[in-house]
Amino acid sequence: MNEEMKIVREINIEAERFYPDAQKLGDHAVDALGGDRRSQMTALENIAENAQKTSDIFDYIKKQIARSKDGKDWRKAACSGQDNTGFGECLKTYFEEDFAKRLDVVYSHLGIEKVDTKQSKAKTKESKEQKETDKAKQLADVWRRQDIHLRLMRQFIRQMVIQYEYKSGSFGIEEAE
Amino acid sequence: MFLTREKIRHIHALSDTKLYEQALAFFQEPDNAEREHAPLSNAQINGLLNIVQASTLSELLKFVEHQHKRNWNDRRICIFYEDLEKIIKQFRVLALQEGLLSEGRYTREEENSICLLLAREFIQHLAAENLFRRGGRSDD
Repeated sequence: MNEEMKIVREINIEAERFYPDAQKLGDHAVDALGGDRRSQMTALENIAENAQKTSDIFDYIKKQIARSKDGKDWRKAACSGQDNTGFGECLKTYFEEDFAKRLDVVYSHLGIEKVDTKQSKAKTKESKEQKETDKAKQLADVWRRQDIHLRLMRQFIRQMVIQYEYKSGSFGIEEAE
Repeated sequence: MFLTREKIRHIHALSDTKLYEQALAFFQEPDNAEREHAPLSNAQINGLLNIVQASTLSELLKFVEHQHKRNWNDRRICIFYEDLEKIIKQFRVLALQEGLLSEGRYTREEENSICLLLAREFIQHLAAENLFRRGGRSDD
């Protein structure tokens, strides 16, 4: 199996795994935004699809939280459950914590090493060529990690938005208006 | 053309890792309480964001320096800009460490372009974190 196929396979496996979480957050989005705010969700989806960096998605989520009033929109808690955390904060925390842990598993399945700056500094006796090769490999791994991270975030957001549309029945409403 | 696709990709990777973390750390409690950075007002942070998007590196530095030398009632604003200036000036070192600039083999134009791109990424993250920390508060 070539490398791209391995990546696609890993992403698909992860997408199956986090599907229940995406559904849960999609439901929370319905509670928070209501059924008539589909553009809020599609804007997030567009940002994710066009982003070249995962931090662009984080920045967008933070801005949406900042723009919402206390207890409303992106700051509104889910109707079910006792947790008072708002939708945006839940999404942000999910990406920062649960999602990040799973990423490490995906990277290890794909044989992508974690960049250890302390270790690379300790190797002082390597030749200049070896150091340059190591640096190039590290950089290639950083790019691969970023690419996979971004693809997984997009996948999650797509699933969440579909759940939002399904639950809110908002699909087609804006287009029909 | 010194700004190759590889270099842009490298800057994007740095943006997601070091620069994003650095922007979050900017607001964390410092060891020295006097160096605390309070979030700026929405108008201030949006102004900074506009400047970094539309200026050269020297214009950006001039703006930040001017801001930190202003007579603010809240000293934390002065410290915010003072420390921001230090961070922007350190981007040259970061660019050299990361191989975005090759030691002794780059022009001033190349240095300024790379440092400006790093500053844009950093300030984008700083602005988002600033807005997030200010919450739904409008400007006083």
